[in-house]
Amino acid sequence: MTADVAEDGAGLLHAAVLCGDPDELAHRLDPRIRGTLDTGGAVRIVLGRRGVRAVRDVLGDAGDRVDFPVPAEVAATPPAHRLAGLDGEDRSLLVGRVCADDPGPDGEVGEEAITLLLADAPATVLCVYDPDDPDEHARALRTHPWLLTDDGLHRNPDFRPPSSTSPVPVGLLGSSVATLPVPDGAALSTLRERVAAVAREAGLDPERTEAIVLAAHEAMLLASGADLRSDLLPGEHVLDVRITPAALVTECRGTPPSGTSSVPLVPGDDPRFAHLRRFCDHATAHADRDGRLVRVLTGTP
Amino acid sequence: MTVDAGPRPDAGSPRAHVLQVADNDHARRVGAAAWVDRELAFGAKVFYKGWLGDDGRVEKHWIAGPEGTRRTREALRSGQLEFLDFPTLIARCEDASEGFTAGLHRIQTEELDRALAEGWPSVAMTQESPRRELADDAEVAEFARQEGGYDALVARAPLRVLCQLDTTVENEVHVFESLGVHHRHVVDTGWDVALDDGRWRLRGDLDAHVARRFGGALAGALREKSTGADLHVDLADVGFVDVACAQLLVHAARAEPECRRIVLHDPPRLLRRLLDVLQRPASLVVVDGDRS
Repeated sequence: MTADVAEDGAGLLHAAVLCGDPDELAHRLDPRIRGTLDTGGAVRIVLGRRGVRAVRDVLGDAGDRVDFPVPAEVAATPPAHRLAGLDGEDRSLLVGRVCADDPGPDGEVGEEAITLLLADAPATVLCVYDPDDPDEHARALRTHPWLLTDDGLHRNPDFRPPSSTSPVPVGLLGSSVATLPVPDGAALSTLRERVAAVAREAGLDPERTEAIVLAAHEAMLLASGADLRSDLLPGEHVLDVRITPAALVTECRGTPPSGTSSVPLVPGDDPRFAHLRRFCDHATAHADRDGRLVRVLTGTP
Repeated sequence: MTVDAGPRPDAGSPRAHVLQVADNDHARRVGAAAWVDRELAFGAKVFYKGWLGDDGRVEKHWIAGPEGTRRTREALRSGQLEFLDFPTLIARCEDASEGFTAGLHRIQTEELDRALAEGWPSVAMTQESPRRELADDAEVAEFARQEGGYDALVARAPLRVLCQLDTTVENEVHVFESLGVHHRHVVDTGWDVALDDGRWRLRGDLDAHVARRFGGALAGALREKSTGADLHVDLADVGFVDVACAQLLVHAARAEPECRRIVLHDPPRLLRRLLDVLQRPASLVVVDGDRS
């Protein structure tokens, strides 16, 4: 179970907007943009010139409080980093069609990366797709848990969630470069050594390396079901370290003792999760009947 | 794990009372065997107190077998190493007219005096995990008084003491309290601490696996400080501190009276950030650059 994200919840709201007309799109976005600005959140709109002009016309003076970066610059940013600067306490809004404009597999991978890696981010991401393009239409329905239509937000029944458990698509989280069984607390020191070695090889500076080691260490404790005071709970836990061109991902798969794995894991309520996410760029946590999975992502230079 | 608790007798202070903590029996034996062998090699008379099997024969104890060293086996034959099993020791203490703990102290004193009278240049005493429940505060206080007997002897003679703690045979209360009683000198898995020149010097990694033990030692160190005296903790040789152990420091500082601070010297870079995340109280002070 991924942390449930309701429309007004704390986590990510990732929705497709099926709309090919810039003026119609601007009107559909208008209440969302104003609502975000009114609650103190940041708004970033990544559209072409026609789209930006239509949004500005609808917003009037409020448009001055919106950030309009150039799409090409955003496209060059790895998906997991596209919310940089929007991570305040208030829910922020990002609108664009960067992934839609990428016809290759990277576009779809980008959407899945947003769903998977930013699951706990307090943000609304609205992805604009052309409903008259069959490929775009199909991708939008496949990769978005929500749809924004004229009459508001709706759950998307055609959404196919990206895998949060094995096998993890290499294109999404990178190739595995190190795996390690972590059966008990005594093995945590080896986990730290292994993560540190990979981080150094990936070119992370010493301070960032120390931070990701701490985040990975805490992630494994969380995956095992340990509370803030207890040692790692013994089990068949596994560390998997993955490398993408832009990030280092540590994946901690834990099997909490029977009886505890069925307890819902709500990352937003977990103090250990709150601590560890301060020492990485992004963190996600999932739990199902097979165990817990905690991922920690840190960007590489 | 090798327990090397300080300078050898011929190179400085010969005195120490150390707790060796092990996560399993094998690790405890490896550490104890190495310590005993070193003491014997440097000419100490060694008194070993442990648990014999049902047949009560020291020849069947692990230290007389392949897990001990040849020097240890020879010392058992020559008398340089004397073994006393716990049931016999307990019976002697219970028979003592002055009470159990006073009887224990008398036996230890007699062993020390006898060894020195025989001309041994130094004396070493070690004991295995006592397997005591420490069921209530009275028993904890009694345990502390018994261990205090070693401290009194160490203060007056060239004596080195190694207390062996196997966490698999003692309960959580015993482990916590034992770390507190021995907080001046502990050698644990991945970390150790020694009280040196008024500073509590930590080394290694402090993580969730040892957090309860670290917490016990920290509680002991704070308990010993008189009102108004700061606890100075040297972290220059600590490589890693996780949330569990950082939180112990924060909670300990919050629980202290206003007049007393916990002063952390040269903490690892990340610990400062972590303490801020945990809302470090003013009584937890961080000092950099005064490594001594």
